[in-house]
Amino acid sequence: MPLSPPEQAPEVLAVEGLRITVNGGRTEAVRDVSFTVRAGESVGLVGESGSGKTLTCRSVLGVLPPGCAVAEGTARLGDTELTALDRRGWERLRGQRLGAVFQDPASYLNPSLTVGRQLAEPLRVRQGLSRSEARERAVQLLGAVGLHQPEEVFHRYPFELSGGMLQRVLIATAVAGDPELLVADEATTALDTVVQAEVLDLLAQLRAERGLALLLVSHDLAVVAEVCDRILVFYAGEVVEDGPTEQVLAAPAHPYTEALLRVASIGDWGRRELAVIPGRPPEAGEAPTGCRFADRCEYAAPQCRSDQPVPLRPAGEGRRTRCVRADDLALAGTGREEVTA
Amino acid sequence: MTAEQSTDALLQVEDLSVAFGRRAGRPGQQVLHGVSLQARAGEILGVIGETGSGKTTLARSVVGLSPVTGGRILVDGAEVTGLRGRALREFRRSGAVQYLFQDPLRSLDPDLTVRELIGEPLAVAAGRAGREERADRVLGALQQVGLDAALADRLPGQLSGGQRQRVAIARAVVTRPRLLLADEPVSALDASNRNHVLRLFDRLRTELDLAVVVISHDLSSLAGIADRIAVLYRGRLVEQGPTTEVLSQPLHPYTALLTASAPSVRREHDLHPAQLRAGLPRPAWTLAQPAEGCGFAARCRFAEEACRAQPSLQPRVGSREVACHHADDWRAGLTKTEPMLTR
Amino acid sequence: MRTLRNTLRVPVARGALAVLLLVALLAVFGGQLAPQDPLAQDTAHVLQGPSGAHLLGTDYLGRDVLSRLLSGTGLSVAGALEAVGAALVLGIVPGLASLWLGRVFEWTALRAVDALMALPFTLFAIAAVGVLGNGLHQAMLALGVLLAPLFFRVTRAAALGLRQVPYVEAAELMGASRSWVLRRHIWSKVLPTVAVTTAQALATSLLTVTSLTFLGLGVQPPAPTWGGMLASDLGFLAQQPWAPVLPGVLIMLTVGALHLLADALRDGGAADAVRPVRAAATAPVREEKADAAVAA
Repeated sequence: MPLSPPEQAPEVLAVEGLRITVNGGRTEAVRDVSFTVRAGESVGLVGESGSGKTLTCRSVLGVLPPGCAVAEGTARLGDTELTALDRRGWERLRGQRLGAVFQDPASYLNPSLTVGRQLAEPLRVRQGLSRSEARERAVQLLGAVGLHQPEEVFHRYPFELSGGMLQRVLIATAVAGDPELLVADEATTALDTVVQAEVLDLLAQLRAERGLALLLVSHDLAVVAEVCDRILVFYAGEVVEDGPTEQVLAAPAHPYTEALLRVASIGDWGRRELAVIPGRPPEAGEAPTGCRFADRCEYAAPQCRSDQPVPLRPAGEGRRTRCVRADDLALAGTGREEVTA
Repeated sequence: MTAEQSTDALLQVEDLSVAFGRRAGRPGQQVLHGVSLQARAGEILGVIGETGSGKTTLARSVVGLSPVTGGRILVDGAEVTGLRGRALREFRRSGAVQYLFQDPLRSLDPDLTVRELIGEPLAVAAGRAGREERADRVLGALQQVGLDAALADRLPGQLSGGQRQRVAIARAVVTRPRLLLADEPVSALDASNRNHVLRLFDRLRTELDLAVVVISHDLSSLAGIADRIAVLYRGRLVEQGPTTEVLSQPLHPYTALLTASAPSVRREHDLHPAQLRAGLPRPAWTLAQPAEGCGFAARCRFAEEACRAQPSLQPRVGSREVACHHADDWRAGLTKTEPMLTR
Repeated sequence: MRTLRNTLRVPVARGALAVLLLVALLAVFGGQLAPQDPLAQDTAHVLQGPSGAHLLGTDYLGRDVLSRLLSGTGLSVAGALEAVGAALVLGIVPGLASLWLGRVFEWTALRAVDALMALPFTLFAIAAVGVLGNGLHQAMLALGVLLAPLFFRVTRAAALGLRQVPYVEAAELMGASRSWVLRRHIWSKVLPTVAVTTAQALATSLLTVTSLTFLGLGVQPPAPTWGGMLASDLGFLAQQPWAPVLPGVLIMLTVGALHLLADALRDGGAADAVRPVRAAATAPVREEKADAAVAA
């Protein structure tokens, strides 16, 4: 059961009308993305490869790949406008108010330094701790992320640790500065199932203990479903649905969400159906007008293929959908609510 | 296991051991310890295990890419373990056994077109098929895996991930194999493409009467298609049996931990992973190097003194097997979900 | 093949190729194109500037400079080609063989290459000339032997990374023979690297040929060569300060074009083929990043 944050907790991250271009501004990859993350809340971005979820998350972190840029919109972390930050501004933010974990922990650590040193160094620089204070705090952090015998781990080199342990070290680095927001970009994708569950539990635990807001990006709907209070479903560069996880999964308001649920791990272990979504998502830049999912949608009707982009509109309490026909459709969910109730 | 069963097994792995880096005077690193399993024609066997469990080595040793240090492997009743030189090449050219590499992008030569790639096994075994027959069979294979013939002149780099995997499968089925070993065939694909490929396996095994061994770290991709599942842990088979029963009623604590840890859009397991994770501190002997007793003991909540003896694989009802001293009683030791871990 | 196509898209590469094509034409047809006999002396008109009769003037024996330049191209280029040709054969074949013919051959080949690389060039050249007799061919053969380790190492390095690549393993699993794997999978990946090295080696050996002929080694005097002309022109700097520029420009253009071509080949994808294949990760995200990178 995901934690429910108090209704009106302060907004940690507010993204408004975000539009991201790639290819040096020529191609639009993400458009009209708006969402907020409140203190203590966890929000999941989910979608297929190329749906724009990763670009969105990277623009929040200020690490867009070369050629990609935020063309429109704002992203505020507390009262700081992120899209206007220069390099120095980002450096002040990262590791202090903004922590991040990525898919491949080994590539974010220097292989020739012990993990303890890499964890303690920023503490000394950023928080002005003495050498022994930094060391003590680092060991404490390693323990807090569930590493056994943290003193020993402190002296290990990255290659001596497993993927799951490295990811824990990275999480320790990310939360070392007591950030307001932790961003996890496919952080558990490369891990084994058992370790993935442990790391997801760790994220939930850190959230509970530290009131951390979490922005989790995953291609795996099941992972997002396990961890997040709210969920944003991306398709072809747009958010097609957003709302509280429980409700979205129980009764999707967009046919794409329904399709995602169907192809995700649904059914009992023995009678698992292997559903597929026909067709392929549109390539970046050739986004069709009207509903972008219409060509693959079994409910598509003439009004779905207008020449205007479909707006994201309210669909019940705290929910939004980009489906023109949302009101006429009764989409199938998981029945998750009945199971958990 | 009855004698009748063992004769119609297309793939029979008996007491297989594999060690790397073994030289005179050094034992080398033992990757597989006495693994036995089999797959019948038309059957899909799922092999599940985490990184380092030896699942890839198992498949590679069947096709002769990993050094077998003990036991034997039979394909269609004939031993393939000792094949060398010309005999090995002839066996490979027959195309009876096909191995599907983990990453189709890397196992397909980037400079060859789809047509050349799929035709390569036929061209290598020259004499088996003339030029025209080869072209026909390439198109047939493309059709069989549901790819448009128009893709035949593309390079692998111009295909999507799902298409590339299907090209790799087309190349495997073009030789009309009897046995197909697929190493993590869907791990790089998104959910929809994953199901596409899995459904393809399911269709091919009936169309071609294939025995398929699918190796995966992901339970949910195996759950949809595998008839039976074998669970590997640190080079040992810890549990094996029909998919539904193994996954819904696991006998080994490791299998239970795996199923409980699998993320799901709807909680479908009765156990929470926290109920199965080992408490701390661990008994000293479980951390000993080299490992002593049951390999899972270091992570097993139910490990105790008896586990210092290596458990052997014991047959159970319904053609199941399990290697655990506490297979029958660990469930009794379960505690309720700890409230702290709120999932 | 992809590399060559990529390379041809670069304007610099096209320019360089045009220059080299011109040089090649000169090398083959230079003798026929020469307006006058390059050896005909005219002591009445020595050291003259450009005129209608002698477009680039005459040298200290009254010979036509243009004719000498045109017919001298052949010898210089032939020498360089000879050296690189020898190096290619002596380098690539053992380079590939060292990977597939087992440990003993590998060890022997590697030690032989080490020994060759340790040999001082002059000493080796003198020894070769001493054994084989004085002449351009002998000197170039010696140069070829000395360049061979370069090709050996480059080929071996490029192919070494490929031996463990899954598509090579896949071919082995089909029962493909070694020569099939080499022809079908390895060669096309090694070729771009070899092409880069060949262009560079040609430039190097062209310079060596000119240096040797400048010193009067290899080619006997009346026969025209770029280096020989440069040497004789230097003796009359006071009278004709611009004269050495003519062979100099030809040498510079050719060597420069070779280097530019080598660079373009490398940018065109030769580096691609040698780059180690990325470690396997298991995620669709990679694709997304790659997509973004491709789109970018």
